[in-house]
Amino acid sequence: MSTPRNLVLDGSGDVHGETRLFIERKLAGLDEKTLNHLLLAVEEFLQNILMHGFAGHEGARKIVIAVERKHGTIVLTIADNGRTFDPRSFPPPDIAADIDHRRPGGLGIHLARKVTDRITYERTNDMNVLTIEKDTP
Amino acid sequence: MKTSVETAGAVTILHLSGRLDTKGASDLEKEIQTILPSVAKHLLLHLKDVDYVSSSGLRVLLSAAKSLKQQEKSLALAHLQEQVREVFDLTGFSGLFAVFTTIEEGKNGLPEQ
Repeated sequence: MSTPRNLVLDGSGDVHGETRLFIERKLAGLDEKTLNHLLLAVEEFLQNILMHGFAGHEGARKIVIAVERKHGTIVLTIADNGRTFDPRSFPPPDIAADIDHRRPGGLGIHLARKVTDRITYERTNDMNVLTIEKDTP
Repeated sequence: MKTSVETAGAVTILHLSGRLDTKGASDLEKEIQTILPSVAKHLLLHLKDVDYVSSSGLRVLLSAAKSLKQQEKSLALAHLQEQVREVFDLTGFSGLFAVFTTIEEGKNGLPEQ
């Protein structure tokens, strides 16, 4: 069975599990470290969409994930119809703080940016479109 | 996420196996809530069979560490795999807990009192 070009989700059920399976199939043969970096970035952005982008969202939810290899780069896009959110505007967390001064949250987007090479964002047709690029070794 | 619990003196050891992703973190959170009251002094997480952690997992670890610290107890970790260590380094988590190379070092290295 061939893997479809895009994965379309409605935000319910096992979103993370389906996404992981889709990406692993599309990127079969990729080295484990690069794959894990991409899976981490996608999980973090997806979780952000599910927790914040769709909070209070009325009507149908839609997330579309696509992944392709372009020469030496993996290009992964996540589009969602949640509220407008540019993750690049998110302030960096204080990673030097001790346990008492740590607040939960804020680390996901930081991690996603650290393990990928380029992230671009645009709002198109009422969708957030995030493009994640990772160069392969 | 599969878990099993072992007690060695003042140290409660939680052996974990699987991915500490959003789903795994939810499983771990429930498990930690269950065993927290019975931890004598230290909760040592054995991460040899955990090859992936995301910020959801970090959130559960931080929450557990805060709860334990309030009771003058501590969270410690042993046997970090490469991906886990990298995520810890990128988020400053490496400096938040006692981290041991092996579970044996953890058992022997944590103070009784």
